Amino acid sequence: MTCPKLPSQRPERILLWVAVLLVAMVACRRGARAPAPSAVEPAGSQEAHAVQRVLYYPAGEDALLAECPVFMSSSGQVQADMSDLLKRYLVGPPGSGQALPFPERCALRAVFLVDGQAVVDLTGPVRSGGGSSTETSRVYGIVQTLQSNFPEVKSVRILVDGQEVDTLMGHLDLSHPLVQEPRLLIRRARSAPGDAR
Amino acid sequence: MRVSRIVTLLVLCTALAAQAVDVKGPRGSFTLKDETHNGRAGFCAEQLASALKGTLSRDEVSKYPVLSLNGHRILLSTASALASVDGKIVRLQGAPSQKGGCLWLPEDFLSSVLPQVLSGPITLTNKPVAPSPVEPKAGPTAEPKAGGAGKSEPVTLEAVVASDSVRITLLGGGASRAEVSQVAKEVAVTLTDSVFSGGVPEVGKGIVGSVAVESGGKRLRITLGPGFKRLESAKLKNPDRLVLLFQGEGQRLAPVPPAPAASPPGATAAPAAALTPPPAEAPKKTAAFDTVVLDPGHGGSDTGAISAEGMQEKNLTLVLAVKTAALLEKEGLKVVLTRNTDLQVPLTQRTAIANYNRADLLVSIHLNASPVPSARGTETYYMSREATDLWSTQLAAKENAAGPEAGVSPSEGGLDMVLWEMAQTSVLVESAALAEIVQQEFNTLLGINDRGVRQAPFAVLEGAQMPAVLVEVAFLSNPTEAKRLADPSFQDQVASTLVKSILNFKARYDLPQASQPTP
Repeated sequence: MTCPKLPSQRPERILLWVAVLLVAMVACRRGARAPAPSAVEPAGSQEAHAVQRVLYYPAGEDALLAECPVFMSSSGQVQADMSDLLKRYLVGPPGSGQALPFPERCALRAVFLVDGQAVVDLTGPVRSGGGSSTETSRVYGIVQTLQSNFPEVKSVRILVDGQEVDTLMGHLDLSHPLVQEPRLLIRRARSAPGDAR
Repeated sequence: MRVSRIVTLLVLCTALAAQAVDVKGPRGSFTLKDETHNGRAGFCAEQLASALKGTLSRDEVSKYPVLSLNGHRILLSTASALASVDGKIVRLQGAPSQKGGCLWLPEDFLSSVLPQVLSGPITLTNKPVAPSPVEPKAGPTAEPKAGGAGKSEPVTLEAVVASDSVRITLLGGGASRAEVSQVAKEVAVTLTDSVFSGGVPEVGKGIVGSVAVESGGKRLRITLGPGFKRLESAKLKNPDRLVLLFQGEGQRLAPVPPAPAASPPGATAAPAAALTPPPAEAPKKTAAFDTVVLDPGHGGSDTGAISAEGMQEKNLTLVLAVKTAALLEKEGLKVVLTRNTDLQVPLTQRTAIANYNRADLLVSIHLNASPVPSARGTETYYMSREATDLWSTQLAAKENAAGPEAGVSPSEGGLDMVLWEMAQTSVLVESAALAEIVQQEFNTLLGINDRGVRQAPFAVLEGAQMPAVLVEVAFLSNPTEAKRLADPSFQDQVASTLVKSILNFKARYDLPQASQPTP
């Protein structure tokens, strides 16, 4: 599967892997010289580490969602990681020139998890534009991204400026929580030949 | 030694699995080999088609399996436990499934669908296929041989309620040995060596009046309502059960609500629009397929998408809906518009207008937009199953948690939820078929590659009690398509395409119903 911006993806990914490798080598060297962990250091401390996440962006004319893997640091805390992930999501897929699912001034106000339901509070012109295609891409890009990366997330509720909304653009019902829709994903069989994964 | 034990076990398992069902009906009798699938009894549709000299094929548009038997058309779906028999929805106990070269159907298909297809009562009798020294004589009244195990296993009750039938299933070891008798307006089921356990399911009133367990749990008494026409029963195995199918008309789970139109539970009632003053009584149906509701998307302050030239979606959808309505009326159909002026109508109210008018179809007309300017073509949506399943579950949990303190008894709330869920489920198969028809017609009109039929939880489709689709005709964000949409002759073509789709759907689903005798 590919990021929506396929041509610029492979060099980026190679650079990313090289960077990860270098970081790992440095960490190993430092680890070899470092003293043994002290007894007072809490076991399993929340040290940030790199993890691979998958973002879902609308791709091409049909606007189905395509996977876009990225490496991010993780604190190990779901809420903080969800927040980091969504902030990264709103920046858009790697590569320039790609149309963003959300307008640039959209931002995340908050995200939290309650009984398996992730509540995502957005702000900015999230309701601008129109069309089922745009609305579906925006909403399900977030739903799919959260549910794919965090098994704890069983459903997603979207708020705008802290308020419950019935719909973003007059189509999707947002008065209820949503779950991922597999039919809105690009099927693997349709991935581009240059897929690096 | 170990090998011989395994072989013995395999032979035993094979013998146990090799069951068959004798079917006796108005067109003679035949035997179907039982095909157990995921622990459930069933049979191959091919076998049934062969026995009744029917055919099993694929629907040209939706690609769903179609069983043609005795002049009746049965549309099946491997994704749903619903089947459409001559356009009328029947719920099966499980979804059909492809099992090798066989289209597997659950066994209750025989009791719930076959009587309609054969135009008369049928008798089902289980029997083992493998030769057995104690094989009972199979016949219309022969009871299956009682299994040695589970003689004292309690019997539980399940009910599936539809407007024209109530199916009560007695489950458990003692069920297949129960005695059924009918005296006047009362049916009694007496257990010979077991007792009923668990609750009595709520079935409402109409065909069946009441269901009660008596005589210390040994007897089930079912009173028949004014809508009752006939009773069929079948004793089935794997698992042991007795199925009672009460047929008739007018079964209702809950009292008639005072509200004129149904909407999903929890949906806030919207104020009536000027277009839809609440009359005292809901419109009555006069034919099998006579009313179409067209919903011009957006309106009022909700402009919808806007093209680069400033064309607003709300204005164009209204033009397209009005043109489509005029053509449909020429075809003799009654058309209701959810708005006929630049008015903001709440989404829940648009659905309510369709439900209230007892529409046969709801078509919501929209124009698309995308951040990708080259995006083009038609998208047709119908309601998402994933979302409705989630919402039903959450609603049930909420209502159960609320309890009597909330002013609504759990059973009442549960019934509302069941009704709503049933309404949603029952239209899904035909909404999918309608969506396929619309999509194909527009692909032809626009001469483009198929963007595909899609599913999403759109508010206007939620709670619709009829086949409902939302059509995004073309992209206002695409300069070429926007230019075409502004052209009155292209608007006429869009209207004609919608009419063609609707008439195509009507022809496929209306005619079998219309040919049925009026009760």
